[in-house]
Amino acid sequence: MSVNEYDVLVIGGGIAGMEAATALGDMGFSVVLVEKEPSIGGIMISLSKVFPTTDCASCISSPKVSTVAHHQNIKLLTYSEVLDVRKENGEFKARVKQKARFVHPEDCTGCLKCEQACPVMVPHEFNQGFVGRKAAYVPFDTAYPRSAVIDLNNCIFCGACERVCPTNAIDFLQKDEEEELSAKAVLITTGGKLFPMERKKEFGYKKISNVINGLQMERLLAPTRPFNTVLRPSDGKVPGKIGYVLCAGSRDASLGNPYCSRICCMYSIKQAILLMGALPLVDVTIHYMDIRAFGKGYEEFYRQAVDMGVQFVRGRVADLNELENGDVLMKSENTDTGKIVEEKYDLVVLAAGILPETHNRTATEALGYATDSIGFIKPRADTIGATEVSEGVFAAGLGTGPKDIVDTIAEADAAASSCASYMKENFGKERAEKILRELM
Amino acid sequence: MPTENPRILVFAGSMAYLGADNAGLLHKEYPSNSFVVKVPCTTMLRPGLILYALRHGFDGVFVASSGPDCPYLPDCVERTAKRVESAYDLLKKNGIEPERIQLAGICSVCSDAFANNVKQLHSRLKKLEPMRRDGLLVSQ
Repeated sequence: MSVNEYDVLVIGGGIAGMEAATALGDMGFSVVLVEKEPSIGGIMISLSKVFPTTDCASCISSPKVSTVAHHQNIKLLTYSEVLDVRKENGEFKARVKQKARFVHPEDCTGCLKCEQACPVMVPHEFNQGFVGRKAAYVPFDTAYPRSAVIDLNNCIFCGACERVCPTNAIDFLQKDEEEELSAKAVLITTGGKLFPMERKKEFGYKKISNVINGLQMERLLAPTRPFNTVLRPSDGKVPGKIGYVLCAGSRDASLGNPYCSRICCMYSIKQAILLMGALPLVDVTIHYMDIRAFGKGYEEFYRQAVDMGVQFVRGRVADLNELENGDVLMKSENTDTGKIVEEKYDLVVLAAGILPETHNRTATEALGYATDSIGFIKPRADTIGATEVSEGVFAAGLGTGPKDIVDTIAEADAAASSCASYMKENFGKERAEKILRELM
Repeated sequence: MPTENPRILVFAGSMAYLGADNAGLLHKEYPSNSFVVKVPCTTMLRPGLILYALRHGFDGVFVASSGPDCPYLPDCVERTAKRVESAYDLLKKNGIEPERIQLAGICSVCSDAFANNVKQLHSRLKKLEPMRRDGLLVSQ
C-alpha cells in the first residue's frame, strides 16, 4: 500500500463536492476527491432544469465536471469508497478502496462497442429504470471519466465485450485495490437520496405502475430523456391529466420524517411549468399542504405557475388506487371547500422528500462528528460556523440537511473557506516553509 | 483539386468553448486538424480576423457562438449573425468562397453539436480548392 499525501480529502463528487474541491484547488490546496459511483456529477447532472430560472441543469454542472477533470490540484478517484479513517497527530489517514471497473479507464475511448455487444439488459439507474442498460456500459452520456464499467453482478461472462474492444481495455482479472492516503482536513459532501416512497403504503409506489416519484419525472423531462416525450410507464400513453402529491414522505410523523424537505414544492412547480411546455394539452393539479416558496424569485415562480393554469388544491392526499385502464384514483381532501374529493389521473407524481445518504459507521466515529435521529450531520456545538462538524472535518450539501442547489453551492463554498482558514491556522507555517524551500 | 485534410480554426465563445472542451472530455470523434481559440464573445469577432485566418493557413473558420446562453449579451445571436454576414461580403470581395465559414450556437453541453459542425465544415472544405496561403507554405 502506498501513502499519498494531500491537503484535503473531499468525500463525494456531487455538485457540493465538485464546488468545494475546485474552490480549495483554486486556493492552492491539493485535494483528493473520492466518488463511489463510476462518474462524478451526483444528482444534479441527471436533473432537467433548475428553479426558478429554468436553466438546463446539466449545462451548469458539466462545466464544473470538466473544471474538476482538468484541475491540476485535484486528484479524482471515481468508483472508490472510503473504508475507514483514523486520526494520527492531527492528520487523517484514510483507507480508500478502488473498486474494480474491469476496464482500464486510460485505455477506454468510450466508443460503446462493448455496450452494443453485451447481451445482458438490466434497468438503467441513471434513467430511473425507465429504459435498460447493458452489463458493460458507460453510466450516461456526459459521464466523466468517459470509460465503460462492467457490472459484475449482472455479467454472464460471455466475453463478447472483451472480443470487440478495439483497445483491449477490458480486463476481467482486475481486482479491488486498496490505497492509503493522508489528508490534513476532511470535507464530507456525501449528499442525499429521495425518500423511499414504498414505505408509505397508501400511495402504492412500485405497486401502481403509474405512480412515479419526483426524480423519475425529472428524467422524463430532461433534455437527455429516454423517450423524447413524457409517457406514463404502464402503457406508454401521453398523460393528459397529471396529479402531484406534495409532502410525500416529509412532514409526516407516521413515517418518522417530521421535517420539511424544502425543495419538493419548488421542484413540483418547476416540473408543472415544464410539463405545460412539453405537453400543451396537459392538466396539472398539485395537492399541497403549504406552498413553501422561500427563496429569491421563488414566490414569483409560483405565481407564474398559477397564471399558466396549474391547479393548486390545498389538502392532504389520503390514498391512491389503480383502476383497470391504468389510471390512478386519488382520494383527497380539499380544505378550502371542506369536502373529500375523488379524482382520476393518468399519472401521479409523488414529490418525495430528502433523506441523507447513509454514513460509514467506522469513518463517522473516527472523524468524530454526530448525526441526528434522521441521519443528517450535526454541526459542532461550540462553533458558530455551521459547516465545521468536528476538528478538521467539514460538511456541506444534502448530508447536513435538505436544501436546494443554490444553497448547496453556497454551503460548499462556505465549507471550503472554513476549511481553508483551518488549514492556514494549523498548517500555515509548515506550508509557507515548504513554499519557501521550493523557491530557494 | 480537392483539399486533403482541411485545417479548421474555431472561434469559440465562452460557453461554446466549454462545449468544445466537453467534446474532448467525452472522446467525441471530430477532424483532428481543427484548432480552437477561446474568445469572450463572438459578437466582437471582427470579420477581418476571419479573412486573416483564411489567408494565413486555415481552410475554414467555424464561428462557435454561445447562442442564447451567452453570459454577456441577450442579443448575442443577432449581433454575431451581423458580423458573419459582413464577413461573407468581405470574403466575396476578396474572391474567397463564403462556404468556408460555419456559424452555429454551441451550449456548454453541446459536445455532439460541436463535433457535428466541425465534421460538416470539414466535409464541405474537402470539396473546395485548398486555400492559397500568402507568405506561408502549404503544409499538411
